Amino acid sequence: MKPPSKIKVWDAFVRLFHWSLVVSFVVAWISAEQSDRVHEWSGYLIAALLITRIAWGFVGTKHARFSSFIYNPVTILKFLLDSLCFRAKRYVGHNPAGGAMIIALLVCLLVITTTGIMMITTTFWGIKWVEELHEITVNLTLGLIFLHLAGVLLASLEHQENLVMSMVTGWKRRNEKNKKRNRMVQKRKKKKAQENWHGF
Amino acid sequence: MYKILFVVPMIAAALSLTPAYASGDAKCENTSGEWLSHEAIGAKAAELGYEVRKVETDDSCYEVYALDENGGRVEIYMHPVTGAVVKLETKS
Repeated sequence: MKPPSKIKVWDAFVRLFHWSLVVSFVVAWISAEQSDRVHEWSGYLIAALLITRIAWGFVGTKHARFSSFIYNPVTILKFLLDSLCFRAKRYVGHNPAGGAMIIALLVCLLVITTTGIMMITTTFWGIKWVEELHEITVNLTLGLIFLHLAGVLLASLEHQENLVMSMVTGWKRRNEKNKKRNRMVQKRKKKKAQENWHGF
Repeated sequence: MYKILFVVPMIAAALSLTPAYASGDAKCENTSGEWLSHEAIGAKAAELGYEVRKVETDDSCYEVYALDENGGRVEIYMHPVTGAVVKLETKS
C-alpha cells in the first residue's frame, strides 16, 4: 500500500485566519487616512483575529501550535543561510524562518492594535509617542510582509511547490523520508509529465 | 502563477495609497500672510477652553488635537494666519 502523497497541513481556522488578516490589514492600511470608522473597525477585527490565533496556537491542530514552529535562534539562522544557498531542508509545517516570522508579525500586530486602541482614548488622544509607535510598527510590519512574501516565493521555488495554494487548500505534498525513493518518485513523475505532454 | 495573483493586488493596493495621504477635510484660504507659531495656535485653542494635546500642520490649516470641556476628543482646524476656527470635528 502506497501512503497518500498529500497531507492536510493547515486547518480551516489557520487558513481563514490568514486570509482574513490579509484582507483586514489591507483595508486598515487603505482606510488609515480616509475613514476613521472603517480604520477602527478593521483594527478591531485584526485584534479579534490575533486573540483567537494566539489561543489556537496552544489548543489548535498540530501544525498550528506554537510548540511546532518555535525554533532556537541558531536553527533559524542556519535555516536562513541554507535557504540562501538553496539547500534548506523541507518542512511540511512551518520552517524555522516561517515560524519566527509568525511570532514577529503577531508581536507587531499586537503593538499596532494596542496603540491604535490607545489613540482613541481620552488619555492618549493626541499623544505623540503613541501615534509614532503605531506608525513605526506599521512600517516595520510592511517590511516583514515583504520578507514573508519573499520567503514564501523562495521556499516554493526551492521545493517545487505552491505554498500560497497550500494556504488556500490546506494540502501539501507529504515529506518523503527516504531520499532514494523520493528521487525515484520524482523521476517517475517527470516521465509521466513528459508522456502527458506528448499526449496533447 | 497563484503567487502573482496574490502579490500583485497587494503591491497595487500599497502603491495606490501613496499619493492618497492628505486628508484634512478642512481648507484654509488666504494663508499667504505670516503664520502663527504652533505655540500661539495652541494658546488660542486653550483660550477657547480646550485642553490642547498636539498641534500639527495639515496642508493649509493647523490641526489641533484636544479635549473639550466635557473631556470629549476633538480635532480643531484653525486658520494659520488669523487663528480662527475653520472646522471643529468631534470624535465619538
